[in-house]
Amino acid sequence: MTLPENLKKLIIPIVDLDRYRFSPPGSMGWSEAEYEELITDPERTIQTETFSPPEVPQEEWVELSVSKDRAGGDLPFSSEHERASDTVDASATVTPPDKRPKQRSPEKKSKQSPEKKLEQRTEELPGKEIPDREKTAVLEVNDPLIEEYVKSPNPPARPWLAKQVTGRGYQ
Amino acid sequence: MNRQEYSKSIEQNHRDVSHVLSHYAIRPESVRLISSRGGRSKWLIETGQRNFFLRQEQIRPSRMLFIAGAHWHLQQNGLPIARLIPTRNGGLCLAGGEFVYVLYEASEGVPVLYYDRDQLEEIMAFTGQFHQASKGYIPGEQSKKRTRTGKWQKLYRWKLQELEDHKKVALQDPDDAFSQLFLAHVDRMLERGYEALNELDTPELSEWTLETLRSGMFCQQDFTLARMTVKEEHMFLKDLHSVTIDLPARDLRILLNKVMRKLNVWDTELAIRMLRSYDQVHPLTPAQYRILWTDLKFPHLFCSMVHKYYLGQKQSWGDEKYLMNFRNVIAMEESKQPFLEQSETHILHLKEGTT
Repeated sequence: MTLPENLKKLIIPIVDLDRYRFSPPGSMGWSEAEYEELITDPERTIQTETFSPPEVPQEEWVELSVSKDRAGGDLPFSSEHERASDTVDASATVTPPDKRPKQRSPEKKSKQSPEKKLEQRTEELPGKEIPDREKTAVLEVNDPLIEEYVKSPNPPARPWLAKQVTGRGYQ
Repeated sequence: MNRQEYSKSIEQNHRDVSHVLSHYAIRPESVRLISSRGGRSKWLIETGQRNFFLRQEQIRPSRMLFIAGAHWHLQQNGLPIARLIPTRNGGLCLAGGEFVYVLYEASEGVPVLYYDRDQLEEIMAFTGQFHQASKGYIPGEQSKKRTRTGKWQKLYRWKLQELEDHKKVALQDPDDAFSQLFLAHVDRMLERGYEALNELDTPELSEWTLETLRSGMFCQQDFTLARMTVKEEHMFLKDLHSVTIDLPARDLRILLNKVMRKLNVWDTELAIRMLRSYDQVHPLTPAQYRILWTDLKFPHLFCSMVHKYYLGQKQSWGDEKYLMNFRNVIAMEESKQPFLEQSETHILHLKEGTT
């Protein structure tokens, strides 16, 4: 079969493929090739592995937010449990007890602090019924976050950033 | 390190861990290192009756105390979460050297999948439970709080400015395939980002922010289904790595974006089903949902992917993987547009229970 005259005149360029490197097919591309190389010699992989177990310090320990209410009394099982008073570790540095509300006592219900009342309100397992938004607990604490937010709910952008933003619809 | 040396170092490590465990009222029968990466390590502790996880983190003790206090608060409020085990003296966590430790029950059940619609609805209901149970948290005095509440504008501005800067970088490298794809979409994403930033300037956001701060509510921060399991036919939180004081919308936005990114397309019907499931447990007002819509309008995933690429944050990712993930994010963000434009209709359907 002979080519038509008009096609004979065409110069079809030939690309030298040796000059290029092609990514292996598939979404992982070169990553897959590297991965396959690793798994062909797992022993070598282990030998060149730089992983070492995490360091575990052997120095003085500090227990954080220590509370007598929690001390040894919260494990959901008893046979493994040893009371704190039997086996206090001398190396443990005890921090001052936190000021969380303690377990409420039915006898002292009338003298409950606002924090205890709050705990009562939030104690019910959520999800069983639609919560009443009107009863949302409000913390009466002097939180600097709240004070800061009330003073300046939307602080202005830094000068360099404001310049960047100008003209893009943000005031 | 050869195999023998490696085995010895692991054995020594397990012996070292027993010093940490001596502060807890458990009798370990075996200790096994499960994972160690990014300054976080985890050991499985087997006892005669139950198994526990000991987690070590290279983190400021005050910050860990904030997370452990939140964990304790949730479990005291009845959220289905792995029980945090206090030390013998009632400490929530244990600090030694540069590390802090927490011990909690090991809980394994049926894995939760991003592709199971029924499970996704249950997850959203659980998220509502989580937000409800988080209310009333008073962090200890020694805790270092982390908060994003009241900082949304600042965060948006920062991300937009970074996007503008990355655009300049991309223009200098026009032959780069990632940069070409980025430049083809960045203007539309910037436009959406600035629109979202303007929408934040609303009294409803200020009101919700104050309400959240006063209620003591917090978010999961890095919401992933990898920390969830199905135990006795109910959703269960296996672990709590991080929390932050923020509007509940943040968790919703993160989860919705994550689910839709896995699907490579925005599924409006699924999004409404998921939000309705959340609303039945922890209802939000239409104004609060509008703020969620604004946060969904902001191109968080687009910014995140571009940030990773230009700062080379994923050493194990090749160019192909970057491109594949970036295309997925763009496809998801583009297909989200009709959902964003019909916010009022969708919010109405969501609250009324119709589709």
